[in-house]
Amino acid sequence: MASVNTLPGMAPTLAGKTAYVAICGLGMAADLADGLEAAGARVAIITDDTSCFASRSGVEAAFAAVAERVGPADLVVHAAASRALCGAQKLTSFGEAGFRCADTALRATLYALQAAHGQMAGRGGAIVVLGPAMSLVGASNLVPLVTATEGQRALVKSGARQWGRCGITVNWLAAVSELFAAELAGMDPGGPELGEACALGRRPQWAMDIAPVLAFLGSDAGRSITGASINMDGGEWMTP
Amino acid sequence: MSHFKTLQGRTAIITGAGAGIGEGIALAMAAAGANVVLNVRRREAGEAVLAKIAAEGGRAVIAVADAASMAQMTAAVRLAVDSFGGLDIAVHNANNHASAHPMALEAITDADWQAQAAVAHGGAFILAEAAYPYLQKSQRGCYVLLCSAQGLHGAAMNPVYSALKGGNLGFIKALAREWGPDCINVHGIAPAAMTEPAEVFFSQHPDIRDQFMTKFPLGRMGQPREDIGEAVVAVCSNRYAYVTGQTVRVDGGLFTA
Repeated sequence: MASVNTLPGMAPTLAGKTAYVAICGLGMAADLADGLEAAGARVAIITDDTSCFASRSGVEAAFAAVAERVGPADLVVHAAASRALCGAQKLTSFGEAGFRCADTALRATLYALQAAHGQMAGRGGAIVVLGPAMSLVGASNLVPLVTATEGQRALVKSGARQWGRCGITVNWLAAVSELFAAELAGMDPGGPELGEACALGRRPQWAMDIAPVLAFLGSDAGRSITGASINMDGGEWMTP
Repeated sequence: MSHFKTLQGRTAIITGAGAGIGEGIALAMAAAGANVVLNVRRREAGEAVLAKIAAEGGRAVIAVADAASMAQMTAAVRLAVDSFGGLDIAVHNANNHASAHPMALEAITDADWQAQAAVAHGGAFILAEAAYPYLQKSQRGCYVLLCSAQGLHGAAMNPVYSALKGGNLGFIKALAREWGPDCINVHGIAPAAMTEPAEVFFSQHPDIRDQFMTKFPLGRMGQPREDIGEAVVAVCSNRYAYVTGQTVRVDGGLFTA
């Protein structure tokens, strides 16, 4: 935590605000929570351990339980993959499971957005959904993951359009794919899906690099940004 | 149109081929020389298209199958191979009618989602898997997925449709990378077409039509056969053999980002 606090980007932009880190099937929740706490937020983590994200009622119940403990969310940070099904392999090896894999992750994000809306309706707030930057360019052997990720990104945009007048911002953050690679069994760490040379010469990290941007989007200063896709891959792809 | 038989000798299956854009694609591909397999859920839905193709001297058969059923689509692909000796082009166009209904994101139910996802996403995966061995064998295979600019800009009207079409854009990019070594091109087409339901609506609401048409730099919506179908023919032709993983917006310039 100390190293996170020393970073210049970690001004207490979320002081007095409550952030939920709602992560399904991925392992970055603790790092993100560290970074958001360093930005001054009260932080609660919701993961597969506390909610399976398999139903809307399940996610809403998890959000309600957290709200009783730390209050309603001002910022919800979410990411979802279905790790059990989404390991790297050919599409034809997945069979129909490929569709179910993508669908599981997409539904988890739908439920998380709905649960977040339930807490923010009438109050406003910020939602940021995370995904691997590789979805912007596609990835061999990861068709279900890329399908789900791009679907999540489009869902974010629809949410931004529908909820903007309610004071709810919804944004997408495309994180460097390597941060997700550890979650994807069988993925080739040297494969082209992980991008070209990183322009910054180092990969952005959850707590030190990405959390400050999440904090900005959740702060009052970030309230005019919605429906955006923010690429935090250290300059791998530079799309569009 | 299709003055040149750019698809002569090739065989294509098209889901949702009984009306609208699917019909337009089927007619254009048949006119371009392709053997066409009209995939519809009910045989009577394909009869009129079959007759039109026959009247123009084309070759087509009807494959009755639910695009969301692996078993039925496997049989439909098998029919294509049995009828014409192989399969070179697979076009997933079928969509659920609920995609045109406005929905509030917070009110979307599992039933809403399932109805559209089973066809838009499930159908894309299923057709890809069923067609893959034959597209690979073709050595000039094409997989075409009908997408939408709503998947790019996230329309407010129907978040389910936007999400699924956004997912389709990712599907295309990923599959193009995966199937490139098999000489299979993967294309997306994002159309804006004047279908029959749209024509009926606009005839009843000419003021809305006039206002809507101002959004199109070309001043009109596309015709299913002449504009959308011909675009599909083009990307499947040998002239576009070096293009893959792209989604072509065939929308009169409606969405230019």
